[in-house]
Amino acid sequence: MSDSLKRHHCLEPFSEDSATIGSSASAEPAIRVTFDGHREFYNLRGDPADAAFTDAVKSFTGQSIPDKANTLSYRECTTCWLGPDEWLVVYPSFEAGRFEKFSTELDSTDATAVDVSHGYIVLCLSGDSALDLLAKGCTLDLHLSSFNVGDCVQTGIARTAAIIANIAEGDHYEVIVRRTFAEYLAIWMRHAGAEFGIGFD
Amino acid sequence: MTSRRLESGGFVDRGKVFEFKFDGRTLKGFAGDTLASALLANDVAVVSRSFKYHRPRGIVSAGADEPNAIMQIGKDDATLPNLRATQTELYNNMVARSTKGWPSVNFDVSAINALFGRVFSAGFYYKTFMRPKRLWRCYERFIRSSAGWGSAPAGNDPDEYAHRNAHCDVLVVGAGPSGLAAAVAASRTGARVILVDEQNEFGGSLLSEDTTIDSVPAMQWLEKTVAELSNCETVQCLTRTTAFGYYDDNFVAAVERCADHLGKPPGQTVRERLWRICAREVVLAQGAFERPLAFCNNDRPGVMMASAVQTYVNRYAVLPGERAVLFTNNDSAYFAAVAFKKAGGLLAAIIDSRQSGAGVTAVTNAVDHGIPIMNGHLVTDVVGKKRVRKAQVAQWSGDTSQTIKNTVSIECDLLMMSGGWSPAVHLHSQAGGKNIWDETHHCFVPGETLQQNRSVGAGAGQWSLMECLQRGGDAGRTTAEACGFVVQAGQTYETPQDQENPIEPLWRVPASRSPDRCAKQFLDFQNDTSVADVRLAVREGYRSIEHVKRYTALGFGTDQGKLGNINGMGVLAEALEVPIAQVGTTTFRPAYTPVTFGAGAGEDIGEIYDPVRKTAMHEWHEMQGAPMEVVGQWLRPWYFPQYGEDIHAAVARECMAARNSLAIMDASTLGKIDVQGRDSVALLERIYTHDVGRMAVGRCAYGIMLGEDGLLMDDGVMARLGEQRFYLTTTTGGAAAVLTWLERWLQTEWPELDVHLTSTTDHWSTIAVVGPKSRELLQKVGCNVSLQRENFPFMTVKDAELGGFPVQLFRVSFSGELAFEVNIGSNYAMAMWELLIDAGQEFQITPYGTETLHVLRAEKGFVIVGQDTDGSVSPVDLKMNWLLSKNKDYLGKRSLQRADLVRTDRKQFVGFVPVDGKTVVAEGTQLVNDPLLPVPTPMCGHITSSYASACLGHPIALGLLQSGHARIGEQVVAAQSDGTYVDMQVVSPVFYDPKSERQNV
Amino acid sequence: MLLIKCPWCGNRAESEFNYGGEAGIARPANPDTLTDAEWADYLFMRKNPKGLHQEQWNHAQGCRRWFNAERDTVTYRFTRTWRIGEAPSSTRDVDS
Ligand SMILES: [Zn+2]
Repeated sequence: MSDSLKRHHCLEPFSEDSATIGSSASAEPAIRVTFDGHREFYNLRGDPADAAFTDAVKSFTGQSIPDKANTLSYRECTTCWLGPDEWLVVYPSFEAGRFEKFSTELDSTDATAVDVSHGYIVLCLSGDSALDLLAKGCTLDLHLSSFNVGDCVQTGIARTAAIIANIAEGDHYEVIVRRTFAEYLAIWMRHAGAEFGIGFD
Repeated sequence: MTSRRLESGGFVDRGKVFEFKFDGRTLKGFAGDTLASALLANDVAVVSRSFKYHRPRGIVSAGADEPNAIMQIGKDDATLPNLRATQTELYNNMVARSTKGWPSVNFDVSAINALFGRVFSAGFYYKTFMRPKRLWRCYERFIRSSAGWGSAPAGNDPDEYAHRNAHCDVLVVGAGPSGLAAAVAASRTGARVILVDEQNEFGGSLLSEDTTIDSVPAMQWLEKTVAELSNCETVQCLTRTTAFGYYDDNFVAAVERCADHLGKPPGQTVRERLWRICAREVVLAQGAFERPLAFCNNDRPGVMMASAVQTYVNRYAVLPGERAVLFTNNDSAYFAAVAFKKAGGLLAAIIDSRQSGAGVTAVTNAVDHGIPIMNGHLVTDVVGKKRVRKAQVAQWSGDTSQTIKNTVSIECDLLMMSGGWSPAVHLHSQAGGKNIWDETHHCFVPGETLQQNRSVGAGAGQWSLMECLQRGGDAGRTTAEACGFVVQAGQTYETPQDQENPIEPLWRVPASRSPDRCAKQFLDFQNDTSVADVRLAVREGYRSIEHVKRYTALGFGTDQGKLGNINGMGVLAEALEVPIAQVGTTTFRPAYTPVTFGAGAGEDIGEIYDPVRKTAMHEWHEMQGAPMEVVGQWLRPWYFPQYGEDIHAAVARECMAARNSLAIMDASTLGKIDVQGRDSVALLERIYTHDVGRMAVGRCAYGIMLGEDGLLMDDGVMARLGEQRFYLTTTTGGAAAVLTWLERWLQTEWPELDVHLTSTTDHWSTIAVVGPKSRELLQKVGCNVSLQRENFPFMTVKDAELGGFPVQLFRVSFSGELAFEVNIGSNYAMAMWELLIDAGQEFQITPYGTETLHVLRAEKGFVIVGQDTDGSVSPVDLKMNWLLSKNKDYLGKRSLQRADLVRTDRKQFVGFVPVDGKTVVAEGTQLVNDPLLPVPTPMCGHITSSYASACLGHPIALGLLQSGHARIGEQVVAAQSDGTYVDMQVVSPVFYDPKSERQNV
Repeated sequence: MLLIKCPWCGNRAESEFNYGGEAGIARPANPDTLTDAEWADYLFMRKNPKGLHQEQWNHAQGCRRWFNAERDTVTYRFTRTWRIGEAPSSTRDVDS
C-alpha cells in the first residue's frame, strides 16, 4: 500500500468554484485560506503521569506531549492538547506505515492511538483580518493577551466545533476541523470573510 | 410649504442635498439630517395617526424615545418597518412611509374611533371582544389591520448581516460627556476599551448644547477627545451602535448600523452587525429622557419635548415652529427656550408650574433674551387638531387635586414641554440592578448592581456637566483598576456653574374638569393610554404597575414607554395614594430599541443556516441526479431515478436489484466509535444488553443500549477487533449522543475503568455491497482474504486489502441478503466507490438510497430507532428478549421489571398487511379496534413504517399495537387522515425470508 | 451569555457546554435488590432547589470532560466548578 492511491480531500469540490471575494482581483485579500487535506492525524489517549507513555511518545515524535491545557508542542509534528488524557498528533504529510509504528510503540503501555487521518482537514488562515474573521464565529478572546504561539483551543466556530492552533508568529492560524464539517466552515468563511476580502487557494 | 431650515449653524451639510419621499411626497433635506429633522425642516406637522383613536400625531422627540414618527423605510425586500424617524439618518432617495394611518395620515377612516373615545377606554378590547370567544378571530383581523404596524417584506432580505464577538476590559455605553470622560480615563491606563454610541457621531448632549469645558467651547473639547480615542490602539470606537441588551456575566449585545444610513450597502459592506461583547467592566452612560407633561390634548402635532427643540435648532438647524410657548416644571428647559429664541424663533412665554420659578442662571438667561416668564401657571389644554394653534394657560396654586379655570390663551404653533428628566436605567435594570427613587430630583436612579457595571452621568441622576465629566472619569479609572491596570490621579474639569431651583413633580396637569372627564391627557402616545385610563384601572381594582401596564397598554409600544411610563407611575401613585417609590418600575427587558431580524440572524441563513454534512461520495450521488434526504445534518441520497422514473418505480427497481443481483449503498453516515483500553469489555458489558464478553475476536454482533429507564436508546452493529478493542456503530442521528453517553458513564460513574473512546465517524466511509452477487464483486476487484463462508462467515470482520486499498471488511446485512460493508478511509472512499461501480457493471450494480434501505429492512422486520421507536419503547415491546443477558447487570435492566414495563397491554411491535392488498397507509396513521365507536374513538396503536414491497407484491407496514404480540392473525383498522378506514391484518414483522437463510449463504 | 469555568480549560461561553442534570446521584450497586420505589427514587426523583444546585456539565465543544458545578438557580450564577472525583474548593468563585 502506498501513497499512490487515489485520495480526495473533502474540500476539492469547494476549491473548484472558489475565488477571491470582497476585494479587487489585483489586491491581496485581507484573509487567505489554504486547504491542507492530506495530513496525518492520530488521536492519542493516555495518562500524562505515566512515564512509559510519555517517554514512548517522545521517542517517536521527538517532542514532549503538552500537559498544559490548551497548548501544543510542535517540531516534526504538532501535538495539540485536547483533554487531560487526550491529544491530537498532526504530521504534515502522509507516510506509509508511520501510524503502525507509532501504535506499536504504545503497545507496552496503557495508552492507545487511533488513526483518524481521513477524519480531519486543516484550513490555514493568514492575513491582517484573519482574527477578525475568527471573531465573527468564535466566542473566545483570541487577542494577543490571551492567545499566543504555542496555544491551541478547541471551541466552536460558527456552528461547528474546531481546533484553532497558533503555531507561527504573525497572522497565521490553523483551523483543524472534522471532515464533514469542513465544507460548511469553508462556505461560512467565504460569506463571513467577504467584508474583509478573502481568497482561497 | 415653508422651509424651517435656518440659514446657518448646525451640523448638516448644506452643500449635499438629499431628495426623499415621505408618503408619496418628494421632499428635500441635507446630509447630516435625520428623517425627523428633514420632515420638520419641510414643516411636516402630521407624521402618523395614533394607535387606538387615530388622532393626528407629530414628531415629539429627537431620539430613541420617539413614540409617533414610526416609519417604514426603504422599498421592496430591503424595506424596514417601525423605524424611528428621529434615529433614521437621511440618505438620498430614501423612501419613507408612515406606518400608521390609512389611507393617509391626514385622512384616516378609522379616526371615527376618536368619536367613541369614552367607549374605547382601558381594557376595552378585553371586555368587548373576548365574548363570545369564537368571534375573536373576526375582531382580531379588523383590529390588527387598523392598528397597522408597518409591513414585513415579502421576499428575502437582500442585504448581508454579521455577528461579531468582542472582548474588552471596559465597555462604555454612551459617548456623551460622561461616557467620553470614562473612555478616555480607562484608555489612558492601557485597558482595552470599547466605546459605543447609538448616534452617528460621538458627543451626546454636547452636540445640542452651547457650553464650555475647560474654558473652551465644548465642541473643541469633543473633537480633541474623540481624536485621542480614535488614535488609541486599545480603544474600539463604534458609532451608530446601540447596546440593546445586557445579559449574564457582563455580556452586552449591541447592534451597529453599518449601512442603514447609506440606503443600499455598497459592495460587501454588511448592513448591520451584531456585536456580542464580553466586558470585564461596564460603564453605562446612556443619558436621560425628558418627560412630557400630561395636559389635555398634549398629543397635538406641534407639542414637542423642549430638549428635542433644542436639538433640532442647534444640531440640525431647524426651527420646528415660529411662535413657541414653553411649559416646564424645571430649569433645564429654559436653555432650550433661549436656544429657540436665539435661532430666530418667537418665544411667547415660559409657563413654569413652580410658584417660585427657576433659579438665577435660567431666569437671567431668559430675561436677557426678552422672554416673558409666568411662574405658578400651567398649560392646561391646547387648541388645534393637526397643529397646535393656542395654549390655554391657567394660574395655579400648586394643588393637583383642584380643577382650575383657564385665564389666558396664548397663540403658538409650537408648544415645548419639559416635565423633568428620567435617567435611562434600561441596561442597568436588564443587568439585574435595582432602581431607587431620588427624592430630590424626583426620578428613579440606578441603585445596587448585580454585575460588574456602574452608571454615570445623567443616566445616574448626575445632572451638571461638571459632575458628568468628573464622575465619568472616576468610573473609567475605577473600572480599569478593577481589571488590574495602574491608574494615575484623576483629571479635573472646569465647566460653567449654574444656580438652579429644584424640579417640582407634575405627573398630571389639573384641568378645568376632573381628570376622568376632561379632554384626553396622554401618558403613552404610542398606545393612546391616558391619565383617565390609569385611574380607571385603579378603580377596577388593579394595584401593581405590571398589571396596570397590561390592562392599559401603558409602555407596551415599540418605544417601551420611554417617554410616558414615568408619568403613568406618578398618576398611579396618586390614585393609589402611595409614594411613587412604592409603585416601582415595570421590568426592563431587552431590546432597548427594536433590533432587526437580520441582525439577529447574522450570517446564519441560507446555506450556512446549519452545517450540511456530506459523505465522500456525495458529488457522485448528485451527478446521478439522486434527490437528497435530510437526515439530521446529513444529506443522504434518497433514491436514484433512471429515465424519468418516479420514486416508486425507482425504489422497486433498486429493491429487486438488491434481492436478486447486486446493489450498493453509501452508509457513511453511520456513527462510528473506536473503543480501546484495558477495561473495554467491562464498560461495554454495562452499556449493551447482550453478553459482549462472549463475542470472539473477529465477531460482529447486533447490540442495543437502553436508558436507565429501560427504554431503547440506540442500536447498531459492534465488532470485536481485539481482546480489548471494539468498533461500535450507532444510528446516523445518535452518533454524538451515544459518545457523550458513554463518556459520561465512564468519566462520572466508572472512572476506575481504563477505556478510550474516539469518534471515527468522519475517518471511515462505509460502502454497503448488497445482494447475491456481492461476494463475486469483491472478488473481482481483488480482495486479499477469502470471502467464502467457511473463512468469512456471517457477522464477522476482517482487515483486508480491497482493490489495493486498506479496508475493514464486515460481513453484516441490514437487508437480509448476502452483503458486505466496506470501511475505507474517507479520502480513498470515492476511488473505492468508483472501482466497485465499474466492476459491478456486469452484475448491473444498482446504487440505492435511503428509501430502498428502509424497504429492505422493513421486509425483514428490522427496527429503525427513532422511526419505529420513539423513546417509549422497551426491548420487550420489540421482542428483542434474545438480546437481554441474564448473566450481568446493564443500564436499564432493573427498569425492565418495573410495573409499567411488564404490562401486557403495552404497545408492541408487529407487522401489518392491508387486507385489500394494495393500500399503503401513511406513516403515523392511528389504529383503532372499532371505528364505529363514538368520537373520541379509543386508539390502540399506530403505524411507524409503511411501504410498497416490490418483492412481496403487496404493501407492508410496521407499527406499535396494544398487546400486539398476542394479536397476530387478528385485524385492526387504520383510520386514515382523510376519514377513510383500511382493514389491516396483524402479522409477524418479519415478512421476508423468515428463517434468515439468504444472508448466511 | 453565561461564562462557565471548565475546570480544565477555564472560562468558556455556555454554548460550548451541555447540561447533565443533578450531580451526585450514584448508581445503586445492586439494582436487582432494590424495590420498585427505591429504583424509581434513583431514576426519577431530583431536588430542583431554589438556590444553590450541584450539577454535572460537559465541556462538549472543548475538552469533552464532564465536571461538577454549583449554580444558583435563582441568579443562574455558577459559584464554583470542580473536577469529577475531586472535592469542591471550600471557597466560591463568586457569591451566590
Ligand atoms: Zn474544557
